[in-house]
Amino acid sequence: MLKFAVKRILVSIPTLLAIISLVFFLVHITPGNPFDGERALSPEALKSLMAQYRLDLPIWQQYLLYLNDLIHGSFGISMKYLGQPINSLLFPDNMGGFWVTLRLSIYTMIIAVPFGIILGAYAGLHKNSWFDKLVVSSNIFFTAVPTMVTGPLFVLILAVTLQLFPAGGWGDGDFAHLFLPVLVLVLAYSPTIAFVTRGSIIDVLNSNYIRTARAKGLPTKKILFKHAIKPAILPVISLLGPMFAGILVGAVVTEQIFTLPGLGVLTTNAATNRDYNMIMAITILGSILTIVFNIIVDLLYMLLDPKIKQ
Amino acid sequence: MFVKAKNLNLDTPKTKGFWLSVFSRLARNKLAMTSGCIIVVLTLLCIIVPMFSSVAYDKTDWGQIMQSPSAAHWFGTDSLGRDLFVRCFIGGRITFEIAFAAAFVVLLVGIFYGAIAGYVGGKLDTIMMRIVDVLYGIPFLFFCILLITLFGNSMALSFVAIAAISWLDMSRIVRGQTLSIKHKEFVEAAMISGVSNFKIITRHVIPNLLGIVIVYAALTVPNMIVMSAVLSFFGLGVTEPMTSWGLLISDGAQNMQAWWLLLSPATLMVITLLSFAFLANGLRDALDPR
Repeated sequence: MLKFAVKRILVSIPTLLAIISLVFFLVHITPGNPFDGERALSPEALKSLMAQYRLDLPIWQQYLLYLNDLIHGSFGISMKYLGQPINSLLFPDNMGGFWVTLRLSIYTMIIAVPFGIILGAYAGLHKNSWFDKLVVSSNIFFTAVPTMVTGPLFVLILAVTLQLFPAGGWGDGDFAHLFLPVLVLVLAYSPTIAFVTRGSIIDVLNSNYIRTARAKGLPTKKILFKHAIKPAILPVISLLGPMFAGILVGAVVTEQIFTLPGLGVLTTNAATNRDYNMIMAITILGSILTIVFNIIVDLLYMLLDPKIKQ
Repeated sequence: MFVKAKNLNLDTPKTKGFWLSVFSRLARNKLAMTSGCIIVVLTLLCIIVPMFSSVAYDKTDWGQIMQSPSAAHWFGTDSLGRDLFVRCFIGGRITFEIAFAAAFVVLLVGIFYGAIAGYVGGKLDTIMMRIVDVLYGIPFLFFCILLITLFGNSMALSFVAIAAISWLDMSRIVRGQTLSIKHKEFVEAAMISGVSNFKIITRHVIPNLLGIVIVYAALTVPNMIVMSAVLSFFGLGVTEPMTSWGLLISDGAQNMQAWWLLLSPATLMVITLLSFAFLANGLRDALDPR
């Protein structure tokens, strides 16, 4: 168990390193530098800027220094807000930046996963009922139509027309302000979870050991909770790894819709101001999160799957 | 004596019967056929409406600002008095152009990458699939924005950036399918007769991937539509006065009092995305009857 965990973590280090290298060299090999667009800088000022951002060093030295920074938990200095460390923009003391995105993603996961599993299990147990058909068709709808369409429509109906919720903004992170963004995200991701749960419940209920349990005369409730739930949940757990990356990006898009001060704003600013260091930091941070979450999911899977446990 | 290669019939057997039966199965699926028709009609409208409309998509009319839908302006007008009906369809044209172009690149890259990795196998396969794994670890939106930031913001570049990060799924699917085709008798026969690897891939492997590629193409186009629309929310991709569905929706989301600004492009986009989803479902059922 511990051996597997250590191995799983060690395997992901080269992947992360490859991502960091790819992003770094992509940014630094591309011709032009972020200070090209600035109003004409005097040669001395430009030189000192280049020195401050180490752009005057050979590229391999820049690379090693950047890795060194990352190991020490620093993403370098912003190229737009001169001299300001990226960490203080990404992880501000008050609510903002990464914390907003993280909170949105976590709320979504906490609500969407159990919600989806319960709906899916119920639909699978009542195959071909109207509820089952509703789950299947809502999966088709919400996988086809993204949050960037459903989000504004919800705002139009629930916030602007019916005036039930504020149309946007973080407020102080209270229920009213977070309800709509989280609702949009939950609706986007729970149908997939429900659909997968439904499929695996149907598979499990048709399997031989459930038939045996039934033949022995065990009550349905006992069959469900003792024998069916655990194996039926496994496919859902392996779905969560890739889904988290989707939710992270979905949260960033949702922030744009509801004008929340998260990674979305930082990304837009970085893109329009060509703040290379910032956008590198966001990309790498996103990759780290995705990889870490995938490790957690794999470990969870191993805990639940008796086949891997030994 | 060797038998000359041209005397051997190395062509893949004509599978007309298969495609005919696929088509007849698809034709019986009313939902998929309706969806296909809707897509064709919408595409035609996107071509025709801007061509024959009496007002240009970028014609501003200060006397007609923020008018709700009427006989003169079927979808209403925007904050610069431009006719939304024309803008919706020129935006649709741009959206379809980006989506089809990106989907084409995705299919091309994905098919060749996956087919080569799966067919050659061994070390090359391991390396190629490791690269795919690494790229999977990067959240696609951030990477896409990084590419656009680096290489400049234009419509052409935005579709290249979208395509550059979207071929991964395709290559994985094609690789898996190739692995199973590789061990079929006709491919082994071709190998023994000394047909070159390149020719086996293009003549035998890729035609047999056609089924899965068609289904995946019907899923890729709507994905590309969504991706280009998402970029619009970040102020990237298509820029004013040109427009796209993403840009129109993001405009509408900022002017909620004028509900038609949001509802018109959003409805068009929902119809398009659902049509592609149903078409893809129908194609999958038709190609793989069980």
